[in-house]
Amino acid sequence: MQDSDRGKRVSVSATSDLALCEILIAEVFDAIARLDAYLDDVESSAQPRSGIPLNLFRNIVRKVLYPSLEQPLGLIKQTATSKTPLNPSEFQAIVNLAGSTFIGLASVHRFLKYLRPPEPPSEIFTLLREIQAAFPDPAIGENEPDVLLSEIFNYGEIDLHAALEWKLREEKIFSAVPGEETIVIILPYTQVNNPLMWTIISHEVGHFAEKQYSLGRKVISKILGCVPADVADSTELDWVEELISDLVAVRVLGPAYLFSFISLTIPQSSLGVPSLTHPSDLSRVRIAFQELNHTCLTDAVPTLKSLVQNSVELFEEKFKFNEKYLGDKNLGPSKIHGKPLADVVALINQELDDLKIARITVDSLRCAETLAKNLAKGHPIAASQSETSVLQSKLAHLEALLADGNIEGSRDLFFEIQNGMVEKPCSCSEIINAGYLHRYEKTIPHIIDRLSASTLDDFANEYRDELKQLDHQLEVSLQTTEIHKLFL
Amino acid sequence: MSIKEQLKETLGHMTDKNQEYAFLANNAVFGISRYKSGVIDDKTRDLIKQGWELCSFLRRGAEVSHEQPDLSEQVIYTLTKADLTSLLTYEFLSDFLETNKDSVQFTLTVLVDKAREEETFLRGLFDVERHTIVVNAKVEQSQDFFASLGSIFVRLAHAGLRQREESERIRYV
Repeated sequence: MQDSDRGKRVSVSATSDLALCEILIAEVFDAIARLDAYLDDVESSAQPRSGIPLNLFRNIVRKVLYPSLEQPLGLIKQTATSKTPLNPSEFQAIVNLAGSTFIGLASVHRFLKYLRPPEPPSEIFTLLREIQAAFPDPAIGENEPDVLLSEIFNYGEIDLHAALEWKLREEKIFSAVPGEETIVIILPYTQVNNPLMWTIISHEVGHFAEKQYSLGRKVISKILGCVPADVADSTELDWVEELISDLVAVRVLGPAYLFSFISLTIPQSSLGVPSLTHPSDLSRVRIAFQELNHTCLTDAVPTLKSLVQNSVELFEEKFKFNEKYLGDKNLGPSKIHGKPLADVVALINQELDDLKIARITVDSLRCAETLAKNLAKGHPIAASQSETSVLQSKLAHLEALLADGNIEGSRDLFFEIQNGMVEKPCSCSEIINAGYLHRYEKTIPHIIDRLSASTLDDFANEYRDELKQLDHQLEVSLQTTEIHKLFL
Repeated sequence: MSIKEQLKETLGHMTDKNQEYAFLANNAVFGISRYKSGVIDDKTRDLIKQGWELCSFLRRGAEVSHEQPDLSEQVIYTLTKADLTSLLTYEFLSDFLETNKDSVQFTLTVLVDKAREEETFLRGLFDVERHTIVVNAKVEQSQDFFASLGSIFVRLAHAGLRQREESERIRYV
């Protein structure tokens, strides 16, 4: 996108309200395009016997879901043309519409189970292995979960063994089921080819770790001053377990996890309300953001820092909207067993530090910022070259060392220079963070610009193809980085 | 569990219905915006009509509830599906407004009265003689009412969606 195109933005009235509307419309539009792209995947990889069910879904996408965005887009365009800001009711209706289209999409998604699903690509497992490898203890890596697709428009993990045992006990059929913990990670059908949303797998791996080492009980036992075995099952324990999994995900994947979490939750209505099993989305976003700021989001990565900041501000703004119009409230948790949340987070971090879980570094995020530029050019981003700008001065230094007869120093510097000239394979987390940078710097603004300039139908086809191309580019990058590693 | 509660569960907490109502309310807001900017065509009529249809559901729900205060199985199964849905919508709103009385500006009675008023107003909106400054001022209030209704139904639909997910034994993100 040219800079001059920015003038066409629908947000010429430039109110912050409009920016939230735009983001929500862009997120929902993207989610519909994902469903559209998924139908293509089903057609090409699962080869349905009859095309009729597929056509039914295609018609829903074309004639129901996309058109649901026509009125708000019309209103936004009119606002831009007349330079009159949206009135509060119009703003409210547009945000509500994004929320209800999200629910409509989730409802349609449930029926995808009546289509033959394609296989998840192997790159999901590449990412999964990298996340598991962040734990030095082989026990986490030995766990081999499967990744399956689900009709539920959400992400999760299920211990099939425990679930079956519970069900059979409830039916009074068996008292125990043979076997052991059998974890399955679940992704929504339509995200099967979206490496950016695979990021949520890191939270699910966090759950293995939390169970493996009884981390939730350990943290609460420290708060209560008892032994972990004496900590009873409770909502507060469930909340701590969720926070542990979030902090594992942030530690391993950095901003990418926060981006994916915000993308999933921002259209929803109860951001401030916890459930019996989960702290509120608002608390989780705030904790993850704080953690990123304390660790890797430094001035060395200005673009990522600013994009994360913007995303969190929009999330907070959406919460304010919910609070004003939907009665959403910030209901904590602000404390766990009377202990302030910040102290609980510190206790969790102490446990995670003891496990020596690898943390994403500022260097990795800097690498992601460089990779995002290559991604924008359409290049694969499987490997990066180290900083070469200092090569000249290093060569001069080497020459001086040789002239001085400093053999040992010359040898060290020679190998340092040699290492700097070799391409290093990127990690999956660097590739995915680069993918998010590209999404929020280029893709989302592009959606907003194009929706204001083209008809929905024209742009929908074009965008679906762009989206598939970008998914493919990221998948190839993940695949290629594995190959690079083989030659190390 | 009362028969009404049972029906609410059977209907999957009416997620889909509440979402449909949210669409109707939002479309009414968009229709009124078109009307205000002078676009009076079939599309505008269609969008505004969705607003009065929603009001009609709400009004009917209140009527059925009033006619049948103690619903028994015998009575409930004799209702038409449209009346049953209206009744359940009314029941959902009743629960919701009771739970959220601090944050929502309406009581149930006010909401139903307002729905009656808005239905009449919207039905007469395309009468050219009434297209006056007074009407223009009233459409603002009407738009505000439908935006608020949209928010309530979106929230009910989201709550239903979460409840539907939590009924399975998957640990979600």
